[in-house]
Amino acid sequence: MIDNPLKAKRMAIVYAITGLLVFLVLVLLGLGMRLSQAGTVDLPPDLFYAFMTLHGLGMVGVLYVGVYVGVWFLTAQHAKPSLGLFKFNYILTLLGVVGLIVATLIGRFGAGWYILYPLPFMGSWPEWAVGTAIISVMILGVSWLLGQLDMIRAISARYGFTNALGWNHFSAKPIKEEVPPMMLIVMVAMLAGALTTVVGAALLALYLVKWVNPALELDALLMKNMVFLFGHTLVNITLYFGVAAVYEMLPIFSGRPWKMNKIVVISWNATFFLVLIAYFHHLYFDFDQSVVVQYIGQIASYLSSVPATVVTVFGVFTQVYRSEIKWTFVPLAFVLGITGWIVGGFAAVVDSTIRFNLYLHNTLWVPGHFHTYFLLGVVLMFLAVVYYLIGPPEDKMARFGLWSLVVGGYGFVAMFFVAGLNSVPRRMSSYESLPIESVAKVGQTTAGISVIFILLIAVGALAYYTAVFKGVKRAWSE
Amino acid sequence: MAWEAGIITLVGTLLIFAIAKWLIGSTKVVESIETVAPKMYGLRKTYFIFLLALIVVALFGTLRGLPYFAPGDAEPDYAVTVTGSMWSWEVGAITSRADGSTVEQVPAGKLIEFQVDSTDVNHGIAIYNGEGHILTQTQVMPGHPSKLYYQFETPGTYHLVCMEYCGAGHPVMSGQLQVN
Repeated sequence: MIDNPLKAKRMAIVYAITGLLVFLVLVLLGLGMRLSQAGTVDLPPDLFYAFMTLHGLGMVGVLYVGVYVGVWFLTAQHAKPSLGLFKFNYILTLLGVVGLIVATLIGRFGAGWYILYPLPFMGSWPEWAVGTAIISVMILGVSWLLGQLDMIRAISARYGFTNALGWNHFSAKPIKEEVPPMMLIVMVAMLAGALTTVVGAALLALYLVKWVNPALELDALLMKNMVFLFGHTLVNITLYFGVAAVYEMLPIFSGRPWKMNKIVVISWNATFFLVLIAYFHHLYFDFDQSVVVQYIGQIASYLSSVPATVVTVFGVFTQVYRSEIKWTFVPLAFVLGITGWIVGGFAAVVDSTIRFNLYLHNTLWVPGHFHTYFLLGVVLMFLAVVYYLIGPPEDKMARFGLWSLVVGGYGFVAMFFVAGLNSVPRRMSSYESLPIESVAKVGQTTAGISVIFILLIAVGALAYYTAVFKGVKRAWSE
Repeated sequence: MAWEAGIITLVGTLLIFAIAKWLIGSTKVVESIETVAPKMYGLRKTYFIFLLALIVVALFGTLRGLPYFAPGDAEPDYAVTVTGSMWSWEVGAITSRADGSTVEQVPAGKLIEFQVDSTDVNHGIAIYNGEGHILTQTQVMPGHPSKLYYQFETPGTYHLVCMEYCGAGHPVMSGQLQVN
């Protein structure tokens, strides 16, 4: 366990409160975007795309950091991650976020969260905004990489590198010490994260050179592969962090142990490889990419469903089925979060079928599935961990907020799915200029309806915040 | 095909919801882990075999007829260049592959090879029919020209819509294609 648990907890609380506030601001940016698409608000395109870039980068970042803090705090109960680095990373993260806000809202940098080459260098935004955005994302990347490496170090120091990966389960020697399965998931996620964050850093370094020396020509296909290897992995390890918290915390409420065994080990070690090759599905329609790679993308995407459902979902079943669990906020949010993760994952697997993707690629189906596993998966797991950390015992208001968020969330994502099935393209600041009236009408109508559901989400978030903030004073001192 | 994806997702989602409701409701009765675990392990084994079989069948069923190749490896009848630039499409001459002659409108019932390219940033090209359905699409990446195959069965006006975010003018980047 970490040497100074109270200081560690306080730092986690600071992170959690910051994350909750940033999350709400980013939801409001999303509301603005949907109002613009509905035709209710007339956002100039450059402002819409600045919003879109900040919303995308911000949500990916805040959810990654949010659940990272959750697993950091839980890991600190077993091992000794660096508290000093944890604090330093908070400052780096704030610096990166402020830089992104300046680049997008003031500089109107709007290349999207995935900054596809060469758009960042050919947009209508000023050059300083490009440099600010690149350097800000680099700062965030450095912070995340340091955090990932420190967690690998801390867990390896406590259990041994190979033991934490569960390889001792295949050794003839008897197992000296049980390793909590959360440690295995965190190790796998951190290793995949560190490996691909280096790729992301290399991409940003190339972008920085291009920014300084505009004559430099980069290969668009290589850049896209690097972006998605980094981005796809980051999003997936964010999900794994949330799942790791479920492995660690659900037993507290069910009273049943969740132990490491050979199946859990094989499953999560396989996940390490699957996550690194499944990203190819983001490039199905880049026909210059090798066809073999496209096949691998679909096969890896399909196989990803095996460890997720066979091991994690059945693990949750074993924890919950006819247990003595009381449905207070934390276990309820975890089980609903796992449900959202599986629903979103299922829609993602459907979309990873090349023949379906032909009709769904870059339609609103895509934000449909990733909002499902983020908003109704990771966010619920994050809220559960934060409530466990801060929340008071009385949780009626928090449970009201949870249900409001879940109902609003599913209504909100349903509008994306319906629009996607009707061929409505994504990333449109307005649908008025679409040449096909029926598609434009579906786009506007579904965006308009989704506004009602976003308000339900906001009500849910505010109810949760009201409940959880009541416990801050007690949590800070205990 | 899009609606098949929608139906599969809807059925799957409802099933997941039903299982979640059943799981949460199951705690009204309490059993020990010693009785629950063997039941779950048995169920898991059955599910694992079912899932693997489903994946194998689904892969064999879907990894064919992919858009990377002309249907049935047929030779295209006509070729046409489509170039994307911020924020418009330029459609070139429609040229017969047999004799090099050109026609003014895309002929229905003939296999067309669209040779797509970009002069600046990434674009995406989707061909929509008049009812607003996507017929086919591909990314349009600078430095990486690619080929898209399609055979129009019905004469009429078709739309070319940019599907990849390409800057502030992205929503207005569209064009038309006349098929006779």
